[in-house]
Amino acid sequence: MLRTLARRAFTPSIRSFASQIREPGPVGLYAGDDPRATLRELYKRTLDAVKSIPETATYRVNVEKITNYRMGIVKENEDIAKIENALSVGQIQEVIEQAEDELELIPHMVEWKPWEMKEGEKPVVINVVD
Amino acid sequence: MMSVRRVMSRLLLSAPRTSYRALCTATDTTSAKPVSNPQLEQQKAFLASVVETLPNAITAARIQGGNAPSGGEMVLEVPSNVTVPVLRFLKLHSSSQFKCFIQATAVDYPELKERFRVVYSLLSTRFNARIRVQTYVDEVTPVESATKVFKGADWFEREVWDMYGVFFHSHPDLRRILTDYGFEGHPQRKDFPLSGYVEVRYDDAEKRVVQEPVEIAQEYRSFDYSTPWEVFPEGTRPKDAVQLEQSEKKPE
Repeated sequence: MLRTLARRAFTPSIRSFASQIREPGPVGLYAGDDPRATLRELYKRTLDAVKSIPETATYRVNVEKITNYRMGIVKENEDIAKIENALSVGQIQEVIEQAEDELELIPHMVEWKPWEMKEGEKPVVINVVD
Repeated sequence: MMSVRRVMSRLLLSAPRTSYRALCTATDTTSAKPVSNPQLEQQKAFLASVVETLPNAITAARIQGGNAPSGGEMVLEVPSNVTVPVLRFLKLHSSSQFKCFIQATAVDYPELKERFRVVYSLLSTRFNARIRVQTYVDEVTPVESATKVFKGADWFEREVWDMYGVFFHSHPDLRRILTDYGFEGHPQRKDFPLSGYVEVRYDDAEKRVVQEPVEIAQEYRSFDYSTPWEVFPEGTRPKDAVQLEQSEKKPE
């Protein structure tokens, strides 16, 4: 009995996140204590990072659209289940992961500059081929 | 006690009568409106957005087999120096999320100057979509390894190196994977013979396996390349496929 008490005292408790994980949740993805705050912070950082891309670039326009939309939904809704349903891109842990990925991508895009076209070059046409 | 025949006739009577002829003429051919495939429209929209976002990185974009009712396959062709940035974009961007690496393969088109087409296949579980990213390289041009974006590309790139000789720089461990130790040549190239150049046997005198030139006598086979099926070369070869110049083939 003393041993179980000792074990309970010293094992780190993941159940402090219990309010955010709905069973069955994705294994290994923890939303943290306040996923809405995390998301707001990530989206703020995304919008800051994307400012170094020219305003006319489609990538910047798309990222700003997506981020503003998601940030709007996060700000409006307190309930995490409502946010997940409104966004319908998976559980809140996955939404955080997607925001982190987008943030990771931006510096690479800034360095690569795929939107710059030389004079007279046009983007390719999409063919539907048999 | 009902006979089997009576039971069957009862069952047939109760079943709804659909005449076969009615099924055949179910579609009204007079108002021939082409049925738009929503999946195809989604794929076209996605490819259009990718081309708009990365205009200087895409040399071709198409949907292969798009006219089939089950939908087609999205294909992106890129220059060989931007494979990794494009793969990274497809993986990390929120509206694509192709996070699952399926395979990397290559195809040899010896009539092209850049004969090897390296193909990466990706899957997005979030959006239930697949996409192929293709580049064309010749024997000496290296391609950047995709392992910095997808760890799963590791062994597939080793296989492409072993079978075709396409070098991947920045690969953590690029060595042979399928051929024998000390094997020379790249077997899946079109100019590599089917039976190879060497054969192995155990030599009792030397007490080990020895390699000797292959002795399989293969009689001359002449191929008639015309097929009975209609051939649609569009979509599998670039439009301006350059024929090997005659001067290269003339003996000195």
